[in-house]
Amino acid sequence: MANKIRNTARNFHAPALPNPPAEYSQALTHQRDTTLRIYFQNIDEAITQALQYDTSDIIDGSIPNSKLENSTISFGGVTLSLGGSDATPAFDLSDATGYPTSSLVGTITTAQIADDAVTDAKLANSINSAIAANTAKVTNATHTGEVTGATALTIADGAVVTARIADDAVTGDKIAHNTITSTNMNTASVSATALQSNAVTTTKIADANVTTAKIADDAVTPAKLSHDYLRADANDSTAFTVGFGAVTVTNTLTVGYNSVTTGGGSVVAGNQHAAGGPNCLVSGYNNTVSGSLNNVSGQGNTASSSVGITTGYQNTSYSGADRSIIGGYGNYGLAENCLLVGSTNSISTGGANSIVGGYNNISAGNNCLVVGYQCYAGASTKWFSTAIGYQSQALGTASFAGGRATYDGGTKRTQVDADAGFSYGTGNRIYTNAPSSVALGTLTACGEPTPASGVTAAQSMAIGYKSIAYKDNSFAGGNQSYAFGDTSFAFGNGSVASNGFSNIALGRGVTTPVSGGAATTTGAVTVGQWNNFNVTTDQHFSVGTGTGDFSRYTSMYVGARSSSDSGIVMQALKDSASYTTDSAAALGGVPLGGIYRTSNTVKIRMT
Amino acid sequence: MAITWDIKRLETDNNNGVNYVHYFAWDVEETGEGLDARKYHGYYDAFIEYTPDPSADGYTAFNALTKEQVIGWVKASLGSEQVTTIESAIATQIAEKKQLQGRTSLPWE
Repeated sequence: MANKIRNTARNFHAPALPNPPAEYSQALTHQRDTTLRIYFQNIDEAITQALQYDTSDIIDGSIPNSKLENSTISFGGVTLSLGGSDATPAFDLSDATGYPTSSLVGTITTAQIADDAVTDAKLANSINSAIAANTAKVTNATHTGEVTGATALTIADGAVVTARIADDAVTGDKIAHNTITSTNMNTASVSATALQSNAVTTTKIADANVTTAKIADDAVTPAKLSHDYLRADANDSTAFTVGFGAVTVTNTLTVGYNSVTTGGGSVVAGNQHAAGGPNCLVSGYNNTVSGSLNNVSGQGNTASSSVGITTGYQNTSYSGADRSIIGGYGNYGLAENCLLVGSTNSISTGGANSIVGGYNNISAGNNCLVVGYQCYAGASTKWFSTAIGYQSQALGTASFAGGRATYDGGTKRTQVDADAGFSYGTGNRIYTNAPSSVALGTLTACGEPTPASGVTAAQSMAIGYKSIAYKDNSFAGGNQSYAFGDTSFAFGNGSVASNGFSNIALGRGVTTPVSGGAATTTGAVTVGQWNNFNVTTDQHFSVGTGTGDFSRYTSMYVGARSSSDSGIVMQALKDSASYTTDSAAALGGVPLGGIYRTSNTVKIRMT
Repeated sequence: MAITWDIKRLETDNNNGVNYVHYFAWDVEETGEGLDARKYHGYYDAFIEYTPDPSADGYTAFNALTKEQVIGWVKASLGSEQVTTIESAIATQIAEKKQLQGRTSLPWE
């Protein structure tokens, strides 16, 4: 090793100092200081240059490793001293670049290759070609698991044999639509469960192959029947039933035995019928039909009407009974638009639009209602009446008769002769001269059978038993009471409102005053019982206290007054005993507070 | 028919003692049936005034009185003779009314 490192010498040349003067002057002193400054400046520069080294200034190999600040070097995990060597350094080349593959020696094992790292591009083209051509696999190894992959695996046409497919492995989705033919299916192998509901269409059923057994009971609706004939074979004894719904027959339908049908479009059923007109419906036994558009049912009926219904037994619908309905037994219909049911009833030609039911009733007027037994309503010019019950007769226009008849020396029907009369009960009567009247109860009457000329009993009312209202606006009620006067009122038992205007009788056996067979006055009010009515005086208010028809008495009355006569008569007081004292009056029956007399003095009993 | 005695009204003083009794007796006789039925009444009534004495033996408070008890007072006050007179008068009234059967109307009308 060298002992020095500088290769080139750096010499210092000190400047020549001036000689000392003999005597220092200021100028010489200044000159000496200037020389010294130059001298030291040169020293400084020489030292500076001496400390600066160029490459050429250092002697090769003159610096030992120990004099270096860093005497080793490390690469890839291998450390060497400067000047050292390692022929087979174990470098970590994980960050190395530019290392040529040609410099690799040895073998790259499978472990050295990362999973999923070798792409098809790293394979030889021949291998890729062989894979693509499916020629790489040259041995016939059996594959036991799933064959998976993202791209197509082509199997040669017709190469997959049945044995390669697992049992029950081919699902419906793996079969192309519309590809399974009948030859692929075993005969009789398609069960009902394999068919979709409502999937079998009519064209899939062979003609004439649906047997009766294949149709559920009650399953064929009318809409499923063709609008064609419904026929039964000749001599077919099997009954059939046509269920609920409409059956349209466009031409003649003949059923039964020995029917005679002369009209087209008729329906005849039963036994020995005759249909004379077209469009008739006849059923039952022994019916006869003529005209057209009839509907006849039952036995022994005769229908000559049009567009009517005649049913039941031995009913007759005459030609005038168009659009009428007749049922029951032995009825006769002669008017149109009627309803006739029951037994042996009849509607005359004038009884259009009427309703008759029951037994042996008659409607003779238009728009009448008759129900019951032997009732009668209306007349040719008397319409809109109603008769119900037993032998009731509503003979007036818009009249009403109900209830029943009775026997009172003769049959007495509940009968209304007057227009708009109303009677209900037993044997009541409203006569013709009593329109708009009301009779209720038993044997009551409004009006009279043979009234005097001009006498009417309109708007009258009779209620109870045998009470009679004789004049307009009169009222008779109770038991055998009579209202003879216009606007009179009689109520009670045997009360009589005599024939004067606005007379009123209330009580038992009372009669408003009468003289000479006529009412004494008008506006008379009589109350009580058995008054003495046969008087000549005006009695506007009277009180009867009699004890019988032959023991009549009027205790008091108020008559017409004048300035000379009060018109007040106390007959009973006049006729009573004269008592001198209250005690005597008491024993005579005069109550406390009662009026009595002492001779002609009127007193009140106080004690 | 037996004559019936009854009480119509009582009045009291300030001490609730009875000082006034309004009594009555009546009878009725019926004849005929139905429409011919008739009734004839006999009637008598009067009153008696009393002076209540709450200290008397057997005094009965007002609320404890019975109809029979008051009728007994009345008959005791009247005496048996007057009671008989009244009942006879009632019978007479009925008899007289039954006699009034004659027609009062004029025979020529």
